[in-house]
Amino acid sequence: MLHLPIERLAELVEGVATPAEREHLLGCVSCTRELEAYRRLVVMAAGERRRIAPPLTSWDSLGTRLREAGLVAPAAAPRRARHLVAIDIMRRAAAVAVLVGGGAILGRMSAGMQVADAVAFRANPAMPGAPAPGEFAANAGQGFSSPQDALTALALAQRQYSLAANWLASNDTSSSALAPEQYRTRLAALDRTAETMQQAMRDAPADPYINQYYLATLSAREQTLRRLGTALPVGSKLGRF
Amino acid sequence: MRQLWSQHAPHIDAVVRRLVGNPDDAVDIAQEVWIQIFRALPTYRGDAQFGTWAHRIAVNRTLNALRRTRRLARIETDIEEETASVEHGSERALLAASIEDATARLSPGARTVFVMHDVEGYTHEEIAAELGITPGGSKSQLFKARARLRKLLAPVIDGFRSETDREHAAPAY
Repeated sequence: MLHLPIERLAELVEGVATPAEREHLLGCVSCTRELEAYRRLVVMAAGERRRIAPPLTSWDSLGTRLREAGLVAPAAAPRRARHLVAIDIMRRAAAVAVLVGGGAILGRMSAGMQVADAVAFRANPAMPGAPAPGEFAANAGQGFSSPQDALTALALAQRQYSLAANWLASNDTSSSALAPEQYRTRLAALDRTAETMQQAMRDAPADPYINQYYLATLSAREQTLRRLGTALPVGSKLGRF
Repeated sequence: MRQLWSQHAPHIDAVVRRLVGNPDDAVDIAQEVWIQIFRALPTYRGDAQFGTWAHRIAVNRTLNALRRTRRLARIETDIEEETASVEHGSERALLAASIEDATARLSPGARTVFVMHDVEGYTHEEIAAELGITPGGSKSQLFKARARLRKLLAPVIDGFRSETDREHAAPAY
């Protein structure tokens, strides 16, 4: 018997093979492997349903269409007190400073500099109490003498984490690579997180937790992009995800 | 409204993107879908989860939009042409890195049937009713679409095998 037609194999994922087809499949490694490949394809397709992605449009853009359709009332321009405007400007300036800092990190990394040199999170050995390279600044549950001490420890831990994660992204070959699909999913999730954090920073630009999450997200995104670049098939270039 | 959109847009827009294929067209259709969802909001009675209810609207509205642009009018022709190109074209140039990329390269009709059945879980009878074709026609197109996707996604499905192994894994028949 000749090999089963490819469309018949595609059908047999949920169809019933005839006795002759079953007999052939028992003795034909190639057809059996192809049938298994089709089963994997169908499993992959079913997994797509759970996939989420950044919205295709912004609320501002959609809001305009909704107003045109008469589904929402026209937006009234709120009048704000002068002191609130001033505070808002200061908040925006602080948010821009954080964004520029994060952008500079990514820019320098994308320009080909070493991660350890480019990332501004590098622990400063001259800083009192700074851990030596490779040493994690754990407090071992002893408590902190002041909020400032706790924040300093938090910043150091963050720096160490970022350094280690970036180093692993560039140098670790021991862990098995994930499928590009998984990296793309992770990138989409990181983009959404970064967007959320950006929005939060507009309201609370000085919040240390929001800033840390935002910068950590940018760092993780960069690492994932690097991983994805090495996980694509030979000859493939990352154009978009 | 904004809260509903923020919560469900990642899922709803993903459905639109899968069915449309072309991201530029998907943006316009996604806005139409959301307008329809909000327009129909007073009819939502809570007997299903909002996401499920909105998902149905998204599928129907997207199919309407595709139908309107006459993309579904050439289902049979397109799928025959694209299947032929897999058999005779350069496979290397056609390889895709993800199922999203691969489905975007299917003809609109083949993509619609594949996405509705294998991704969204519609039956052939439901697809036939939506698209105005027979269940048998839906099945035929699904199997052709799978065959094409299997070729396009050979590196992904075969687990990044070597070029030699890949040829064995995807016999020409």
